[in-house]
Amino acid sequence: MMRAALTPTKIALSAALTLLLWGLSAALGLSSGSSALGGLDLAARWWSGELSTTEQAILWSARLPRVVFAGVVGAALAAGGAVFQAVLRNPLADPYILGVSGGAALGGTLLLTLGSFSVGVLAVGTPLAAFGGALAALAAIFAVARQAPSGRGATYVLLLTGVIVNAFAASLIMFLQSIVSAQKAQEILFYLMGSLSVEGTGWPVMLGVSLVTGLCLIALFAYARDLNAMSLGEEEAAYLGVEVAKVQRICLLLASLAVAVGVAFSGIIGFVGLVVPHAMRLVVGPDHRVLLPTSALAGAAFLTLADVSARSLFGVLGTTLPVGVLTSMIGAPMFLYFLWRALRRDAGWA
Amino acid sequence: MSQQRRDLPTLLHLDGVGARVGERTLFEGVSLSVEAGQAWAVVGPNGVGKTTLMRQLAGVRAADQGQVWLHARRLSEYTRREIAREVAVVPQSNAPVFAFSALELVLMGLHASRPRFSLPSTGDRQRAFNALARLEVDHLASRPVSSLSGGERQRVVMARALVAGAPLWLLDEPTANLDLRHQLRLLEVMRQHVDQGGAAVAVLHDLNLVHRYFDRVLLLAPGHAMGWGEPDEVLNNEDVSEAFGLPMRRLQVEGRPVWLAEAASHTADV
Repeated sequence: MMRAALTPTKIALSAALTLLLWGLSAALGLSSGSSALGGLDLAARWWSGELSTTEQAILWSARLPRVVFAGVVGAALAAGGAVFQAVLRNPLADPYILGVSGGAALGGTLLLTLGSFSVGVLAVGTPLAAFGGALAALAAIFAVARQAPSGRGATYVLLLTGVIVNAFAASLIMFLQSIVSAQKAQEILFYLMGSLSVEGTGWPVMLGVSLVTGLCLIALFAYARDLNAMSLGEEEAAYLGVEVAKVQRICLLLASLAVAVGVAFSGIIGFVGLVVPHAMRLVVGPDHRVLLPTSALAGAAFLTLADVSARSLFGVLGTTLPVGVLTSMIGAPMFLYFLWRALRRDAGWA
Repeated sequence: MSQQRRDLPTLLHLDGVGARVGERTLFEGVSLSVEAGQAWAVVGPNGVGKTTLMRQLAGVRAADQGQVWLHARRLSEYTRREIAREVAVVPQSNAPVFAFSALELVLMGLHASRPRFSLPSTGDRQRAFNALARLEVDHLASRPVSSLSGGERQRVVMARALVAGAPLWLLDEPTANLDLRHQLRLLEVMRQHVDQGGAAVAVLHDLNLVHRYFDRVLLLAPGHAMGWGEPDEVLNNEDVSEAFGLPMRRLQVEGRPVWLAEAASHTADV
């Protein structure tokens, strides 16, 4: 397989194509929903200013926030996954599988259940608590991974630790769920399944989440070249001139923060960080200078499309399907496939 | 502290360097200078700390004893980026996790000498390709490194050191997975680098190659350094036999030193 040289043109073109993909997904997201409003008709009437007040409300306060949020969370999860995979040298790493999302959800749930705060405090407190939870999960994973034997074994130790961190976080969340009111318990259950129903969340919160995530992703992009070297191993990266401990700390913090602010409001949406970077590597190659931006944009498109699909099933099933259920249905079999391929191919994960 | 080393041709200076693993001393009191135009070989049996020494020289492991100087400063005072511009390392190879091509891997050798937001120029790519050609792996340029054999990968990583443009090369068993022809080819590339004013330190197992390609040798025995200096003196029958725990003899064949190991090692173990 011959890959073209990495040039500014190639990066710009790949980014433009994935941006277009996201734009189309977002347009689809804006034009589909439980009300009949949709399609080209919607666009035409919006352009000529013929939309009724109700229709405008549906568009601006229901559909647009949801589409924006799906894009932001999808971008954070996909780029976060790519970063975790490089830093941990593990193509199977993903914010969900590692337990980082679980830790963040636990942090968020703790705040939701243990106190009764004003909306304003929740808007800032939930992402902070989620970030705390994500860092706690990361610390646990690293404490164990440090003791792991080097080589192939370390990969499995890491994945196993993620499973356990997830199980622990889930048990604590279930515990919290069982001691709160039935209505709150229902909310928590939905939160655990991962949902992009943010219709009630105010624009300032949405903008805040988008801003934090966007800044994290831009900052991560600055470390793209270091991530290339890091993916060869810590010692080899050091030989090439990377301050390994520093880069590792910064990248894990930024990726966790981006994931946590999303998870704080969306709950656990699994496997986006696994599926999207894998797919993008096949298209653009492993170089993070092109992989990170395209993964972020493709992740945004992927989650938007997944959400549109989940919502269109409303008509069929008569219920709102949390998008996390759908991404796991797609992602879990793919994880098994990647694992199977890795075990089969003795010579490397490829 | 204020002691400064002024003799400029010295790239690397070891001042009483030692290494310990837990309570066990691997070696201590190694004091030597690696000068421009010198190739140093590090030889000794398994587990005596050859790789540990290489890691100390590369600055990723602190010396448990003594100091390592790079030019006029302590190695520990350099940033990784500064070290990478002076020292290129060829570690014992491991397969990359992601499918970087051989050419992409070689271009990573430029990491420390190029700004953060830069892409490889056409000139860089040409240099990388030439480096691959010098090690006879240019036909693998677009292949994923993870799909190469151990020996092919070793040569690609060596090409990366070539491209880095650092004066000092640290090679940890560079010939390990190579057939004889490519062992010689690789050491000739190293020799050219040294003869053009560079320097190299290499861990090696073949004593015959030490005599042929290296100016100096450090002989490590279990628990201590046997000696260092010119191969003809350091590699004598007594010291080599003691270091390896195996009776060995040096013969002259067509004017070249050739080492013979006696087969009777197991009698010594009983």
